[in-house]
Amino acid sequence: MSAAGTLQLTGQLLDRLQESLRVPRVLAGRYHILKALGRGGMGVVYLAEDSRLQRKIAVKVIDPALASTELEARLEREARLLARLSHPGIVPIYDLGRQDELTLFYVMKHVDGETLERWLPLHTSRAERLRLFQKLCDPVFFAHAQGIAHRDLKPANVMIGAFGEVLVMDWGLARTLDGQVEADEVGTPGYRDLTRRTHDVVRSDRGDGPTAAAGLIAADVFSLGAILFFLLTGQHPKPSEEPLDPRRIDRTIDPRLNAICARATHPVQAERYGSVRELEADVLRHLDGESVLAYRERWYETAGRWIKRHQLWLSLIVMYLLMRVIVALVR
Amino acid sequence: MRDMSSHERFPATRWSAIRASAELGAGTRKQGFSRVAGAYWRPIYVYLRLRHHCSDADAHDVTQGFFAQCWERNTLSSFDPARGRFRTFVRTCVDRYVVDQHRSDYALKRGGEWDHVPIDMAQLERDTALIDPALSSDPERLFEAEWVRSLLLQALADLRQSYASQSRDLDLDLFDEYELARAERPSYAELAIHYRVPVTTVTNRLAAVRRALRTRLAENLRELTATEEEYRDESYRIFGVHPK
Repeated sequence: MSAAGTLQLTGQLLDRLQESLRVPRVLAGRYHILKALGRGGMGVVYLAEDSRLQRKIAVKVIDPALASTELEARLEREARLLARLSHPGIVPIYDLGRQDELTLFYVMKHVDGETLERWLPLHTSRAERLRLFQKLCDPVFFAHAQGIAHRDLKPANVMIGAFGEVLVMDWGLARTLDGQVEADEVGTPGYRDLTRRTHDVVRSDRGDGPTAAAGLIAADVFSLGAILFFLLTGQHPKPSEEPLDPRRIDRTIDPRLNAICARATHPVQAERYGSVRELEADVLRHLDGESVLAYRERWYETAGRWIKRHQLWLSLIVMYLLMRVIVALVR
Repeated sequence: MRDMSSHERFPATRWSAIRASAELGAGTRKQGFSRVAGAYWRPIYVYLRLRHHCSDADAHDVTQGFFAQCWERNTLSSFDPARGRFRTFVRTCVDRYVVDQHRSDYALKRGGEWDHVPIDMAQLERDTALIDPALSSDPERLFEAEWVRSLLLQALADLRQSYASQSRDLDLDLFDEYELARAERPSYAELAIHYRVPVTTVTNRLAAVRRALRTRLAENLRELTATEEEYRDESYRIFGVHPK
């Protein structure tokens, strides 16, 4: 190299040098990058074509601007965690590889769909949104059962496929429930459990495994509660020390749903649902017209719900009685 | 400069030269301003030569005058990240300065705390002669290309200084021969024979230098962008995949 001050970077040299610093266009000789799909906290996800199997796939590469051994370890951990999670609601991983010393990547299924953020404005039916929420709870509960917490659940990390399938994406911040929890502020404001750091991390540092695991599960429950808020109101929740209150934005929201949301996002973790399954079950109860655990009904609300739930039978009985009356009068 | 071999992620709160250049504290401001000027004098000079058809002497004076005016009027403090990237802001300021230039003579009134940017005109002229003149019809592309060139040159200079201080001559020689070869690149095997080292040493050393260069480039870029978003955008332009 000539002296730095007099180094002449011709256009060709500049292109070549830049090229050697960039993410390669072809990874592992078979994944041909087509375009960028999005950027997350640490990586860029590209749409690519697997030339061997001739199908579209998605490739996640560490954002070259942030590349470090620490991030490489994170990407590798994410890939290995994903490989443990075989569920229709979790995007499957196909390969983990390294193209060169600068480019670690993993290959996953390409989901042809849209994020929850984009899906929501086009689907205004509250029941439809709640059914989607129920589908979303499933893979998260499955991951917990496998000992993994997502830690960054938010609408941008939920994809809705072309056939209505719901997939949880971006497991870059996921942790095993039995591992040490770092005192870091992970997650997205509004969807992040503000109590997690002060409460459970301290305990986990003392080696209190089950409490740390419960804290991680509770944090995911919180994020799901925040997503429920988003589904009900169409607005992202603001970071708050209070339970979320969707009815403050929309008074037409059923108080039971409001209570479910508030319970899931309660600032005291012990006051939340103990698991994602409990949260999902309460939403399901609401959809089925049953009473929910999060809400203590007044007698007239119970009666109203009962009537609403059995309105078909009630209408048939009323019609039958009316007919009997009419028949009796005619006679 | 940090130890390049460590290549850990630099902190997100890294000092931004742009913010510092708009600070009121004279010391910080001068430090930040020098950093910005150091990265921008080259693209500005070439831009003036090719886009505004300035002579070499005029381009030199206008470049110096532009920085002198920016320093005196604290122009950089009016940059609003919400309205676009810093690079575009600088180019727009240069355009405005050229239009107003006949009414001001900042090039001649330099002084005060800000002196001038050291410009190696002979070198710049040699570089400018190699630039595709067709680029001058696209000011944004021209300015961007020169800005990237300036960043790379700076990162290479930093890297050279750091490696020289660590006596890592072999690493630099391999990098020069391979990445900066003006003709066809030699193969790794040829380099291994020439330097009497195993091929794996060649590939490992080259990998380490590339990684160090990228880290240095990213650090400089972070200093020269105002927000995290702008940093990510600019770095994507430089490092991201660009399918043909």
